[in-house]
Amino acid sequence: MNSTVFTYQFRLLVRNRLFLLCLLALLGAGIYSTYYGRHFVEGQQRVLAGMDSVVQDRYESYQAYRSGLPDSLRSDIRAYAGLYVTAYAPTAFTALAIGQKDNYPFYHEVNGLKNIYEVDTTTIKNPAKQLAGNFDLSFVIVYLFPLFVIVLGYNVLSEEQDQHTFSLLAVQTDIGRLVRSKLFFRLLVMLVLSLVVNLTAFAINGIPLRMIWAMVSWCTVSWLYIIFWFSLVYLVVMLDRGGSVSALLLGGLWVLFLLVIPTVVNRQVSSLHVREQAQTLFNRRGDLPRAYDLSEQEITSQYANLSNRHNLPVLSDTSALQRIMRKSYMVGRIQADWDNRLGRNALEATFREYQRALDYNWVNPAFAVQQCFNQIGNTEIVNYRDYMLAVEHFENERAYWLYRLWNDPLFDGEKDLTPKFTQIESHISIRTIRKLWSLLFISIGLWLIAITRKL
Amino acid sequence: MKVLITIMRLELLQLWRDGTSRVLGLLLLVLTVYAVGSSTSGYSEAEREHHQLTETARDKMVHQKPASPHMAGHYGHIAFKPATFLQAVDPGVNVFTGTTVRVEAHTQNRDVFAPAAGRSSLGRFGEFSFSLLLQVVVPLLILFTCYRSILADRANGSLKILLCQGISMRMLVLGRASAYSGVFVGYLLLAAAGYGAVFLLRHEGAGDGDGILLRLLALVLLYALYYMLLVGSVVFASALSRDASGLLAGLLAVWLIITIILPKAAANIGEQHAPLPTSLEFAEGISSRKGDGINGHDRSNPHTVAFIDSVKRAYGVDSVEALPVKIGGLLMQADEDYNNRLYDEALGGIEAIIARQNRIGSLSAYLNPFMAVRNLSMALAGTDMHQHFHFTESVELYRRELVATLNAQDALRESAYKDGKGKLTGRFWESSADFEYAPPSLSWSLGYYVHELVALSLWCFLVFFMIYFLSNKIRVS
Repeated sequence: MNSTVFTYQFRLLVRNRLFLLCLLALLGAGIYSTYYGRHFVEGQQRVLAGMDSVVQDRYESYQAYRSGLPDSLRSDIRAYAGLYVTAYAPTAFTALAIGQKDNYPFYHEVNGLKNIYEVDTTTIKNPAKQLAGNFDLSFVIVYLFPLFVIVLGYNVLSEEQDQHTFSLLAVQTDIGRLVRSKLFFRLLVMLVLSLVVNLTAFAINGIPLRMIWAMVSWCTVSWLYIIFWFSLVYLVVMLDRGGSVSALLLGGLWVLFLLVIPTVVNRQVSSLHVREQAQTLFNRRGDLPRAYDLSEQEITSQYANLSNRHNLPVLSDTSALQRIMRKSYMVGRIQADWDNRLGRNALEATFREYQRALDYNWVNPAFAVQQCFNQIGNTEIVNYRDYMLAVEHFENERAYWLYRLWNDPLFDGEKDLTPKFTQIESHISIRTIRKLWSLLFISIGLWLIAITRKL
Repeated sequence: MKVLITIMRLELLQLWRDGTSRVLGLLLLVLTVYAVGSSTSGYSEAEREHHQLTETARDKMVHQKPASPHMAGHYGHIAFKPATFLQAVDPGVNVFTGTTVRVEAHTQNRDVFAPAAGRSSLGRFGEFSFSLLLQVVVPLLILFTCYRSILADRANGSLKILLCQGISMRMLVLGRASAYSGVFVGYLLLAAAGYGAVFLLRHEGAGDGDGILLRLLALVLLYALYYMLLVGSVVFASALSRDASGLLAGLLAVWLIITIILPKAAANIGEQHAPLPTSLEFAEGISSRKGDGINGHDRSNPHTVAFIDSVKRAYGVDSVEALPVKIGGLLMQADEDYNNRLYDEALGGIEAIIARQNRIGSLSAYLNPFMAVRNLSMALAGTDMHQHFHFTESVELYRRELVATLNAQDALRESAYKDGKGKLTGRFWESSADFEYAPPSLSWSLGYYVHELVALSLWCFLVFFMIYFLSNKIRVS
């Protein structure tokens, strides 16, 4: 029976100009969103390229300054301190899921003196634009695809009643099976459409084949989401309340899942962090204790307690300058630890909110899917947190390297400005989409309930 | 008139008897109670935090270590954006604007710590607020409840009977539209009464100094107009249509386009039409021009030298030591004045670009009444971009006054506020005013939204024109 239904459904689809127009509109929205995302990514890449030239200019002026120094002062590397910029650079998938990338700082000057969590905004933004949101591919899939699924499926049963073919079909076949076949055909159309849109987006953004697992993950997430919406449509259709009521119910479910539940969950899990954030400002202007006020003994013991401390090499000589440099380094590291802890606390608080939000995924499919897309795009808070922790680690390594360069005549690390910061890639794994299992289970549950209903 | 009232009464009775309408009404009521409760408690929390932080910052300012006026200028102060009651109704752009500004000499710091800045993407789905219900959910309910208002009569044949009894189509459309409008305006009044009661209970005896209740009434009026416009349009479409499913699908598509797609598209077009500079370009623009003017910290700067010479000439002395005032304070103020000019130009440019971007959204109100309502709602709630700029400008005025006072103290050779070492005493800080934000008036807020007001009026006129002049031309069979 399936092949007969599929054949006639295909003919009807090809003849329905409005339907084809909707399909084209959705395809167009997908392609536009890809270009929109690409435009955003290029903007961030331009800024990062600008930062690279700033770093290069500073390095050249440092070299000019250094060449003018007498040999005895050539080892003055203080100017090195401001020469490194770490980047939370957009990845190939960022264009498809901008997520919170437009809200997080995306580069940091790491100089061992400046608190990395106190960075000012790295882009000038229009809040009204941010309120409107981004028109990226994840928006098209999360918001627009379900609407199209509703349009495709709400009347699979009622159209037969409206055309007075229902009774005819009822005597020839099992209506429940017919509804399933019709819906299955439309589901296939949506899955193919989403595949076409996704593959086009991958191609436009030049996503390399080595990222095949990320591509598969993206397509799997899209498909799971589409299947979830078809399951809802199937259940509502099987309630047999007529086309209008079905459309009304499904429209209501769209509002519920896309607008009401995510915002209610947001309100439940989020709280204000102005107090934690204000501490970083109080700290910046010196209201909180400073490490340079510690006694020699306190400095030694506090440094020994740092989790990320380096075992300092034995001093090659015990001159006053060497001892001052060692003390300055230890004070700097203790202060960095205090500073970073404040910023990290604020970040960790919002990260915990995110984790609490994930617990609601079984009733919040839109966010469950959105955050999966964002993780693939490297634009979710979990990615930003990974980046910040990596910057913190790098800052510690670089400060130690600068100390060695300054303090140890035998240390030969100047040549290529090592250590280098490596871009944190998003870790696409089964864990990324694990939280979507709830979506799959709910879909199966909905199908099972629907299938047991008699027409 | 009597006929009109009868049509309204019968429609309301039918609505009351309809089980679906009752369920939808109940759902709306539950959501409204949740929205009012959670948004007002959120406001209370924000207000409490603001008071605590403001007191902490004030305490730290008053009890700071004795310092020279110049160093005190570097230490500065911290200003926090106050929570306003109407942000509980419409949070507007508040979630994307900074809440805190560090006030210090030489630099106009930008507002930081926007609530959305460090959050997960869940925040991008929006805040559950009463405005979400008013702007998105209620219009959808209007579509669902009104789309069959006349279509159902046409389908079951009762439309002809009604018209045979002498009722005109215009009267029928007007009567049905008035009935539904009454329901939704009633809902608005009920919710506004809820907010008003919460406001009065929390601000017992404090009066309505900031015009909150007036703004609340204006919000009711705005949404009432919008709902009448929507109800009128949907009932008119219902009279025109012959296919229930087609009409519902069409109305849903229109709803989606005007509430979700067009606002996003307008913002994106605006962004591409007038791109903002990057932070790097902004900072470089300022730093490259800093060398062209006086630098209070660099006595060898030619502009600084020229300034010192002019002061000496004005006082008729040969050396700065012979001046009755300390040149350092005068220099710092001159440096400040120059920097203020630079920042005014640079930040003014940014505000102008943002205004150009948002203008696309304003103009789109002529095509999309939702944009007019959304922008006016933010303006009335005091949560739009203009009021945010008003806040940052108020902070900047405060900064300039504070820094000017400190520089004046720095210039004085002797002062009642300075100790023997020339450092400011606690008396100075106790006598200095704290930052207090005074929100602008209602007319100021609305002054930026002429396009939206005109567009909304035109839309109302258009719908009234349609109903009044075109209803009777609708063919019955």
